[in-house]
Amino acid sequence: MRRLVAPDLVLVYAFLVLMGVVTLIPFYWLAISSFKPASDIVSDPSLIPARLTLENYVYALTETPVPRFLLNTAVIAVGTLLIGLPVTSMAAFAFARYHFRGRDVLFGLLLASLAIPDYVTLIPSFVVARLLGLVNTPFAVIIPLAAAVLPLFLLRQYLKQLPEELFDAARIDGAGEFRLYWQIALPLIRPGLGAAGLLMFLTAWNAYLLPLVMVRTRDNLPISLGLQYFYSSVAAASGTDRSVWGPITVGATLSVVPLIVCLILMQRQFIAGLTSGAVKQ
Amino acid sequence: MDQISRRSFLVASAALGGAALAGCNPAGPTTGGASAPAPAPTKAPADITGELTIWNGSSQMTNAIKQTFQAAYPNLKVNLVDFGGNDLQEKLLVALATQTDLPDITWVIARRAAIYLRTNQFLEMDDLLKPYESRFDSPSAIVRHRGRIYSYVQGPGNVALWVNAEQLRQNGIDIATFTTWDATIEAAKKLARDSGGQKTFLIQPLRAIGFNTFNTFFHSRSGNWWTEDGQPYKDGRNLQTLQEVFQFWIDLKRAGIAYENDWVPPTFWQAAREGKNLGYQMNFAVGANNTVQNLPEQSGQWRMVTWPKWGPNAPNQTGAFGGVFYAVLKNAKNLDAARAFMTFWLEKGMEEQIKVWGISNYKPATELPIYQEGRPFFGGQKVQLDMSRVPYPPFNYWDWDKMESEIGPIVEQAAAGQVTAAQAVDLSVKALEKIASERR
Amino acid sequence: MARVAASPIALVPPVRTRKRTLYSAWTPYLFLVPFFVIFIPFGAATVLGAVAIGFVYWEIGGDIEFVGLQNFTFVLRDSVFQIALWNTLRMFLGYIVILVPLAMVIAVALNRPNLACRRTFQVVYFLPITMSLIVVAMVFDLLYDERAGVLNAFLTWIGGPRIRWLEDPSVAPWSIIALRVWRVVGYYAVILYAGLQSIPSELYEAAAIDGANGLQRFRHITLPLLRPVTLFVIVAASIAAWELFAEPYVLTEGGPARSTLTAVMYIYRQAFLSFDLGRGAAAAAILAVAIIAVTILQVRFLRGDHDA
Repeated sequence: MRRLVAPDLVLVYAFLVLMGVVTLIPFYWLAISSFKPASDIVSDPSLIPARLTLENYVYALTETPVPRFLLNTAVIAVGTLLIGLPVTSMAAFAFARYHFRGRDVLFGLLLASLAIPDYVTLIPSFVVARLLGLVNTPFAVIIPLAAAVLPLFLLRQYLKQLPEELFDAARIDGAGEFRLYWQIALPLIRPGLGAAGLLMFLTAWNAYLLPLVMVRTRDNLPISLGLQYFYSSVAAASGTDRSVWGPITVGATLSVVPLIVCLILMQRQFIAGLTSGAVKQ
Repeated sequence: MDQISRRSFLVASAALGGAALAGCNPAGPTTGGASAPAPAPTKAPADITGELTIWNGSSQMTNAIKQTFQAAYPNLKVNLVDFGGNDLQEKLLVALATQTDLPDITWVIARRAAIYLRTNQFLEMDDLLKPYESRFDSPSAIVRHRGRIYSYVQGPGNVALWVNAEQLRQNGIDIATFTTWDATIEAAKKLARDSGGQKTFLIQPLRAIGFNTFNTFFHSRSGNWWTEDGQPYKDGRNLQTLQEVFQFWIDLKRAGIAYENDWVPPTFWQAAREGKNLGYQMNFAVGANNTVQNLPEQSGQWRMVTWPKWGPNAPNQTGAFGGVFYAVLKNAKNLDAARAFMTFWLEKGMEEQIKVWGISNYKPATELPIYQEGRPFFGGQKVQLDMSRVPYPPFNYWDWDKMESEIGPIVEQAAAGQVTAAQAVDLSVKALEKIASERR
Repeated sequence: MARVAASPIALVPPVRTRKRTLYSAWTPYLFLVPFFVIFIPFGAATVLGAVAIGFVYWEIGGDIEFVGLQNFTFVLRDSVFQIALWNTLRMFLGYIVILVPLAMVIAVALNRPNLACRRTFQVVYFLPITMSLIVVAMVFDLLYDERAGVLNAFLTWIGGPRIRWLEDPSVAPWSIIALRVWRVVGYYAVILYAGLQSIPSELYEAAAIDGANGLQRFRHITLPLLRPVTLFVIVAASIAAWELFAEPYVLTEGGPARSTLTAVMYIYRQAFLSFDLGRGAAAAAILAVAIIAVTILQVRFLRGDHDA
């Protein structure tokens, strides 16, 4: 009976592997396609390719703007993280650890703003970016994404769980409020910081609508739009032009890599350090 | 959020062709200029200076502009912004709404012309383009709004039936019999019967593409949803035609003899390679280019059959997907350059235009060497010339976004057997009236 | 709106602070300043701007005219919007009911002690959300294709029926939900797993010594202590589900016969295809009210009596 609920390791493995296979197949197909001769990508959609080659990578990285697109995306994502994580965690700290007038209403309004879909805020966003002279700079994308409500919400959830005694004790020892945030709260919510950072990085990496209206020149496009740019040419050729599917599969495969690196970093830096029960207080 | 759309398939496929026209080796002097009407007075190329910003939706045209237009105007800085047709729409709306950062010229999908031109942001070009008007082979080639000329359509997207004649012959079907749709459908039924439902040479796509495909049938029968000034076209004969086209669509579905998917996905070519898909109805650019690119091993076996007739005595005409055009913004900063751009593709750039779109509505184009060349893939058939002989009737695109979202589901319901052809017509008329009443 | 929206915040019992005097009254605001310096122009102003557009007729390239509630009455009476809203609600329910428990099971499985390859599993589950939707659409086209698709090939092989995954109006919404769940379940599982990491393992050890079985440990330790993160996942996933757009847009365009037309797709069509910004914004505001109302109900329901 006990085993039924907490299944033994074999069952856990079976479940995890099965789920893994289901999730992995499309990615495997993408990755393997990027190594197929460009003419085979569409005409031979099989999972076990007849021929493998590096020609798509050579072509995409040397003769197309794919490296440039990836660089632009990296700038946006890293910039968002660098500005966004401090800013949202500080706000989350305030919402979680202090009592102040209008706190709950303010937080409710923040959450309510999520209920308005991006599409209708697009024109106002463009107007604001233009007023501030940000159009066609990475900041037009980075800054709006840095004030992200969902990561703030997630961080607040973690911060709320910390025992108040911890902070009181520190205060009595003479610690300033910023030190409470920086030296006590943040280290204790490292899994939360990792998860929020991942969420932020992912959102920025895949951002599509904002760059669409903010970016004015092809050289500043992020990879999400860059792939679309190639895809439009695919549409033109309806699937076979070698100059198209090669860069798309290569670009899509390569654009996954930084996100995976980000996830692994998060695992190492944020989650792993905690398993020793550091949070117990 | 990152997204794409099937519309980008449709948009581009309806309008343009693949990269290069395989088998075409255009040679000789650029023509068109010689037989063109007296060109409207424009400045000499060397006097056109400054910058010209063009928002473009086709990488092929981007290349063509770089290689030809820019070369012809060395003192002009052409600033090309190429985002793909679909993204352009969202970008353009933001720019139009906020009146900022607009380009001099933008690319527009012809089906959606009305919604753009209605904004009053585009420059009418009667004086410039009127002299060319009579040299187009179809009134639909001229982009008109409220009686004014704004542009001309490139790559009209007129449709033909592209078939693997050789494999059809091996299946006992002679494409010479494809003179009427009745005969063609009979042949498709026979093919399906003989192959146990495995083989087909027709497509019946789904969704927006399905609606636009449906529309090519309606269009080819001189049907129209709207009058020229955008009122529901409720003429009795027109509605009778619509009902017959619905019936045709329903029968086609019921017979199960058409390949049903989106446009031409990879699986379509796979089936073609396996000898299961032996043809498809398709616009010229895609038909003439993609077939060649995807099925090189079937070279010489394919033929283009011009659109079958609707009856023995019906006229020989086809339908279209609409094509695209370039429109000049009213507030264009470099008007001289914009005017030069607009006439360029009818003068020196005609050959380049044909390379991208495969075919043109502009009659002098037929004198180009491309039109006289037999294409080896099509067994030496002069596909351009054959295509240019089949006219397509005038067609009024109004509120095409709403048409796809309102009439599209009706076509789907009819195909699914949920409504009869007569009911579908009633629903369509109601939808047209709703669309018209919602305008402001 | 403000009053109603205030509720979801009380997600976690507020921490009672007795010694308010320990910090200055200005302190919390100082922490908020950097965020709001950005949020006010790029978040608050744009949202207010969007709501304001709902009250005008914005002639593209022309005048902007105040029309009162006209856009709202139009949208509310539009049968297409009603269909879109209903579809969205149905798909939202199906999606949440499948997604959240599945993500939870994966997270708990990942957290199982003595599990090897834990990180590898996480990376694998995380992959779908990182993939470009262009490629995802291409893969799922191949998967769902009625004639040549992998799924139907498998069904035929085991002697089952061929299913019209995207062509049958009663199946298509589920195919979309399946795609969406596939895309995000691993991502939410990773978030939940990060939450599980904050639960001290000593608690489980103590419970095990007291003889608590797996289910009891899950109910009395995991669930309550994970509740803040679970709530985040539910709220985030719900809002995303309400705003479902990209997947049906890419795979079905809202069809067949409007079965996968979602509210945001309606908004998109009004604003970006029909150039009717006012009606699009009005529809968005109506959707927002629905989202906020349902989210509050959800949170109330989830909090149950466990609060205190």
